[in-house]
Amino acid sequence: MATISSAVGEDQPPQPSLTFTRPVFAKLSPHPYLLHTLSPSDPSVPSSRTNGRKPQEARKIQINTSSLSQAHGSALVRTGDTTVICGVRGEILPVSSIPQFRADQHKNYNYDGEDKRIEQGKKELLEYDLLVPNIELATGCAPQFLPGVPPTTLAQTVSTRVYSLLHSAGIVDVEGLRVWYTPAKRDEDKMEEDDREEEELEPEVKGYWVLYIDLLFVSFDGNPFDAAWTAVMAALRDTKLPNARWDPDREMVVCEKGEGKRLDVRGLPVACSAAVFLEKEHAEDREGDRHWILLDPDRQEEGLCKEVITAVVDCSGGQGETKIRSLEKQGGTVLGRELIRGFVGVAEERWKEVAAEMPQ
Amino acid sequence: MTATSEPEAALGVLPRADGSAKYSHAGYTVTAAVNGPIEAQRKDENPYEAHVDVIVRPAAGVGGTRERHLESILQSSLSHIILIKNFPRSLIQIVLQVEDSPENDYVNTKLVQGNLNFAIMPALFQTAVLALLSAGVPMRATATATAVAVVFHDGVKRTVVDPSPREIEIARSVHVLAFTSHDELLLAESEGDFIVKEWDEVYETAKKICCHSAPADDGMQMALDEEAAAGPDMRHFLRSTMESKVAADLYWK
Amino acid sequence: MPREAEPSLNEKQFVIQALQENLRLDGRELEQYRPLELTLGDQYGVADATLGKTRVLAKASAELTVPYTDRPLDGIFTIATELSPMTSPAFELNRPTETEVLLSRLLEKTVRRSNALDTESLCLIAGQKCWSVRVDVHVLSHDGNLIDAACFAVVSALRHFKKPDTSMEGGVLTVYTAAEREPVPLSWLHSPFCVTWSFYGEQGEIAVLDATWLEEQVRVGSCTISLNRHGEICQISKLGGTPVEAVALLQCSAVSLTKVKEFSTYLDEKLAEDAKRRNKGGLLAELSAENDR
Repeated sequence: MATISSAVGEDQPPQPSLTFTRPVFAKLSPHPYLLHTLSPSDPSVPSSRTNGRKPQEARKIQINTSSLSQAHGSALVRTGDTTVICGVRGEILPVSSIPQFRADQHKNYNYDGEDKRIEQGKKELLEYDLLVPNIELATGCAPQFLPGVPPTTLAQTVSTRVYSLLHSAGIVDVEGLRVWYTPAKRDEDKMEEDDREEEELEPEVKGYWVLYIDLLFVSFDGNPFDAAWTAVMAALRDTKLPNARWDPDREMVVCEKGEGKRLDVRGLPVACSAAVFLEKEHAEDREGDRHWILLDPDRQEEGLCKEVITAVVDCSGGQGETKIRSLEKQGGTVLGRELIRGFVGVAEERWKEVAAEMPQ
Repeated sequence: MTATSEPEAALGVLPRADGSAKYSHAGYTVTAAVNGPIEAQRKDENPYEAHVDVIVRPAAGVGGTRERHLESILQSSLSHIILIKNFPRSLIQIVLQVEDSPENDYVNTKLVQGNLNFAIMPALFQTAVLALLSAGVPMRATATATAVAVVFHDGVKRTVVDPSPREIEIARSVHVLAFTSHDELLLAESEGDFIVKEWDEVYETAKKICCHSAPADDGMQMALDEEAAAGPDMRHFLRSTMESKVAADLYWK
Repeated sequence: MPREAEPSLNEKQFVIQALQENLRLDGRELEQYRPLELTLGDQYGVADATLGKTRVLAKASAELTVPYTDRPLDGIFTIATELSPMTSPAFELNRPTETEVLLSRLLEKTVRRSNALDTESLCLIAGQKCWSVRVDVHVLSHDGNLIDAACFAVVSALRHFKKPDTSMEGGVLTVYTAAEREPVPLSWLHSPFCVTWSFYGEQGEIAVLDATWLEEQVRVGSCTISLNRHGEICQISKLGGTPVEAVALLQCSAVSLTKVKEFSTYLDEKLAEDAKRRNKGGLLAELSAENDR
């Protein structure tokens, strides 16, 4: 191993043809290479990954918002060589175009308390499909994405996970997406029938904003979900929807020009992923095998690991315990109960890093 | 309404597949066919191990992104328990057809749904394992899965095993956990709003259901008592299903 | 993907010679079906039809949508057939084979074009809202005569199916959930069934009903007749193959009618049985659950 990793000096005699330089060796047998850097033969050398990071070290995250002028909200997120851009665009959906719309559904929720209201809101978002995320892993962002093929399984998986989390974590309050209208009364009516005024002035929902959340991976170097989710959160927090109102004469929703209202975003869940790297690459028997948990894996590391874990935590509530919004672990049996518990602590640290970068 | 509370299963239901199983539990009915090891397509060929291909087909409509995600979850978990190193350059194909799933009477369901259906995962997982056993595909371990929901009702927290669609709708958090027969956690998927302590409780509940050790002859009575309290005992169920199938196949002996 | 193995020459010869002696490998008469079995699901619109080792699952579903602009007064009705690798690893996803195309064409002609389902009744507001009824056909196991089994499953699923109840009040459409109002059945006009004949011999003089997969592979021609219990023929398709005497075909259609009458009676029985099973306390239990909330 040592002969292989030592650089080929100029003054040395020509090396035998079976000696490779570091990058060549890393490419030819990535698994032994990563194993070697993680468990160096010299104990004074700290264990590190091929990319120079420590096992539990994530890449720095950079967030830039409002970079797309045509979208209602946008964000560019970069962690290492994974770059994703997210644009949020609101479109008006009049209730007459929702076949399954029920006018009486949201009327009585105000009496039932906060929990019922949130539950009803989630149901409306889901039933009328008001949040539409779409993920594109662009051709050329990494060698495995070819042009002219249907969306890869990876793109579909990430898209489902973003969609599920958007709904289950209740990020967006449906109230901010409703377009209300209170029927105005003609003057004569007002004079004569003051008593009936209250019942007639019941406001009604005339339309909804549908948020199209488009994600485009500009470059891809592993861990797509964390980057995508951070981009979605940053873009939603950046979203300003124009003021919309119902025009009863033209029977349509009209938007006012100029700056609108900032979208109300609840909480700040942050995703944190890791992969488990095993000592033996092709062994069936895993007894007594060593393993490393690699936080924020890059593309090469993802190719070498099968077991992955993602925790989505939200510490924005201040005091009290960290809220977990989602926990996904699959592909292996190394991560048991204790390791998952410990991983939630790692995710909390990551939350602090990301929250500090998140523009207010 | 007519949903079965006890799991039911039949093996070898499809005459032409290498292995097949039909499983119904908590209102879900899934049929699985396993073919393999068969010739792999060039793009799926792996020189070191077999490629495991999982196809999930919904009862109504065409499979969308949600099914692709379910497939990828099942694929990674099943490849872990199948001894894929034994069959390099080949393909093990698992087709899961959802036949029946319980409906939520309080919502009119849409055909194409994007969000993940947690409650169906244990049924898919269990059917796949049964079908693999029926096909005689060598496995490192068998596995069992269950779904648990944490529901707050009138301020009281309850843990519901095998939640109905209505319970999932009002649940604070929903969890799916799968354990191998060596009591290792194979799969954990959770969503909603929960804290580590709640997850621990869910873990205990799920483990009790999935990893109930097979009752020994002398401790039969005790085991039966516990079973009544802890809900279905998946591992024992898996075992007894296989035992009865083997007994039926070897009746001539 | 691996290809299906074809029967060997010996197998072919054996089957054909047996048929010429009026014998079938499974001991059936030439004009005898394998036992047909139907299982209706817990949910409305799920039908599982078994014909020997052939098994087809059909699932009907409905959702609200906007009608096609060129047919504003009609609802939408589609039958989706996709053979998955479950049937046989030779079938690939998203790559229709000839069997699949033929199956979907025949179901289309038999059920959809014969106006078995009144599509006008699916329209709720002209040009704006209508029901889209969809039947998904899942072939679980294929051992010949897919068409007859699939057609029976589709018709059973549609007759068993119930869609959510709706009401119109002052131009406002309300769709009720199953908890609010009991769903309503589709407006069904007649039940067509397919009967497929397979022909053997040099002039196709031997006509066989309900051929198995092996028998299908050695036949010289086939003809599918779709008709309802009143003897009204919806379609006949004989796609190529050895020419068959017209008189023989007439004989075939007469036998088909008796078969269709059997199917029809069997389906009616099954549906009545299912309705009886559902009524037993099912409704009462639902009502009490409603009062809790």
